[in-house]
Amino acid sequence: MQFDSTTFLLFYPLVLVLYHLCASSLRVQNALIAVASLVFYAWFDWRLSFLLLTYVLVGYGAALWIHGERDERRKSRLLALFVALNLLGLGFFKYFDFFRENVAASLALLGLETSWPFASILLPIGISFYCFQKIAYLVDVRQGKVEPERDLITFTAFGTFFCQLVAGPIERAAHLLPQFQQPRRITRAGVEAGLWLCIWGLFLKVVAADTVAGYANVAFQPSHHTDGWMVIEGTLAFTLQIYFDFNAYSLIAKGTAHLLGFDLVWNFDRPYFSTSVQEFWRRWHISLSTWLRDYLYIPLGGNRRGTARTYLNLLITMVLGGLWHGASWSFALWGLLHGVALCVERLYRARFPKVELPAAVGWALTMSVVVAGWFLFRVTSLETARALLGSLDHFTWKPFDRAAWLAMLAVGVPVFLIEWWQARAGDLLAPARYARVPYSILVSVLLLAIFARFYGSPYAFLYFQF
Amino acid sequence: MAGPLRAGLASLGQLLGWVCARLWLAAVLCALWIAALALLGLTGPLAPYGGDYAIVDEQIRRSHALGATDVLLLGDSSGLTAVDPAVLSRELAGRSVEMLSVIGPVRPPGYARLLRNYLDRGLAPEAAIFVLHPFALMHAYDEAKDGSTLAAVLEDRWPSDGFPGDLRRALNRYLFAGLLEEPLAGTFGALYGNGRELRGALAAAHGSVAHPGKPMPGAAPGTEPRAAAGPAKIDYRLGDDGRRSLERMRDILAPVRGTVPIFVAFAPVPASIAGEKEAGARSRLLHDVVRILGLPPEHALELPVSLPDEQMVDPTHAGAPGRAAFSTRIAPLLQRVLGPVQSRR
Repeated sequence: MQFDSTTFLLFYPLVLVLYHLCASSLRVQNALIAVASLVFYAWFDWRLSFLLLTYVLVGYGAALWIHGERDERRKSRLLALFVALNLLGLGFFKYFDFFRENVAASLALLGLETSWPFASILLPIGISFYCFQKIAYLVDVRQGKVEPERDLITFTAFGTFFCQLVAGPIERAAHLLPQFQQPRRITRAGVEAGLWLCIWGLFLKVVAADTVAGYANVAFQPSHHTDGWMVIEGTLAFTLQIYFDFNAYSLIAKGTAHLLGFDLVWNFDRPYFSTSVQEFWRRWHISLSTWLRDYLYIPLGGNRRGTARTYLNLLITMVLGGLWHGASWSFALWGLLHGVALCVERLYRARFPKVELPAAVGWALTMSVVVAGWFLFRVTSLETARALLGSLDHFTWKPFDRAAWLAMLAVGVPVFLIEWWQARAGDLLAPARYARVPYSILVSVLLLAIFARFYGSPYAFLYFQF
Repeated sequence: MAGPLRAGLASLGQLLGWVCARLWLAAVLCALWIAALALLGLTGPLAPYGGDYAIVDEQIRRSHALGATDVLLLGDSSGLTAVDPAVLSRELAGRSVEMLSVIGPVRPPGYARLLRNYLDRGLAPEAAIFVLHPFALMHAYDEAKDGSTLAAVLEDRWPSDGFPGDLRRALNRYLFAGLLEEPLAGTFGALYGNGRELRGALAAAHGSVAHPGKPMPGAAPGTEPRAAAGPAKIDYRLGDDGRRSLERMRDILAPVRGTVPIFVAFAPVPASIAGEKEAGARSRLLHDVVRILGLPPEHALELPVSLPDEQMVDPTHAGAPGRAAFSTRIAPLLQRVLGPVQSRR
């Protein structure tokens, strides 16, 4: 079920009430979370909950096995085995058809025709997120950063926690697991923060993201009379949509968790204010970028094996990060673009350590990379990309263009004003702490806008497909 | 058992207390915003969202607001997309031309009601011309599915969508000025963006719109015309639904029949389905319509029957090139009917 669906608006308060009624028993609360999470996940497709439970049980057993093993080499082999098993599951569900298609295309180049049918495997929602979270848990157990959880109910609640199950943030066990092991403390400040995050997140999704989504969808439809304006507007609309949409999910995840007494990590920190691509990746999808850094870039050698290897590691990390989003070469290209941009920045800093670009120039260059990247991210196939880029040779202003710009301004300006306010205050929760009257005026407008635009999930959260 | 339950209730009570303390004023302000809209009379039923509804709603508004004009065009979407009032105005020696055409489901009684809205304000154009598609008179409409636009025109207000639908529409239009509207479906969305822009484009084009669709596939020699939005062949037989509808139209027009010359014409069809043999049937149908409406036979305007397929979007709608061509072609005929320019209001 989606956060912006009527079902969730009934489901969550019910869970919240039951959860608080069980306030005296941590174990019952954890069991409630586990059951609620499985119901939440089964709502998408009941068959998927078995897959999720398999991931949880394998992760539970594997961590205990690795931890109990005395021989270090066997520990490492076990870790490799279970990481491979996790990735095998992910690969099968997410990349099988992509792999098959590319093998067939490669064989065709050699003159070998194949007629393998597409498997059309159902993509389990959120598999990339919970798969990565389980891998991080096993690695952390192996490295002794966390103790494996022995209580199955606690571990199931941790492994299926519905607030962040299907689109993150990808939590580290060291941060989230202890919160399932001790009684949660719910404070007034936490509740106020949770309320603000839920309202702001719903506004970002229902009003901001879904409004611009329509324009991006029209503009990226090759059958439409696409011209240069439409390509530009579609790309900018998608640039806004993907940020508002994914940030919305992360904020609602954090907000709903807050009301249950949990603290999830921040996943976004005003990424479109970044003045370098490196900074962008410190602010965008933080839980994934830190995961890639800790579990891929550093194990590959990071920057410890010379300049050339550092650049190669960066490129590998970013291309694989791109492919994590989906089985398409356009995602790989998107990752490659960011990887190359990171390498260029690194090279620039090495060559000109004392020459700082003006912030405005840095911002413009960064956003050029980011926006061009979102174009690649959105097109889904290279043929579409070529067709759309071909439209840049003619520009005809039409009512659609006015509507698209007005819609982008109508939702973009208030959102970035709030972010500017957060930046000035140095606090992402600044609006939640505002005085009663201005806070209430702001929230009343947000609630009315959410109400006006709430049609019950016309567009699924974008990151559900990853 | 009582202990844990009491603890649970206390925890829940505390949570609710904090939630209420933080949100009560925002809830009051929401209520005040809504009350203000209601006091200003802005929470009444509005048109649902969509291209067709935007067109009908805008034409209802224009029928009450439009100033004096020499020629007024009315009817269904075939005329809406086939005639450009600006081209006609230029070709008709500067006569002002405005259009109040809507869409097929509004049916002839609705077209007549829009004319009455205009005339009841004491305005008297030189001519009111209904441009209809013959298909619309052969085809029976599903009242349950298509009836809301006719009801809105006849009753001069949109049917209520109840709560929360009406309030949502009011907030979107008045509090957020239509800026949050999403694009319309299909090719209309790709050209006009949202309903707000479509209304603006329609008003700017004197009540007409250019259809954004691509030329129909039948345009290519040797290919079949596509069946969408109309028949592959037209037999020009008046259906029962069409006849009843025309009779209702006649009743609505009865009080104004003497005050303004009313003409009827048919919109063009694609050349590939026009058929020379059907020319007589088409003319007979047109004269039947005029007779049912109680108009003089000479008020049946025989306009060009067809446009080349490449100028049509589908069997009932002209594309932008067809609109320009058809407007230019009918101008001399209308000029003959209207005679020299006599007056300016």
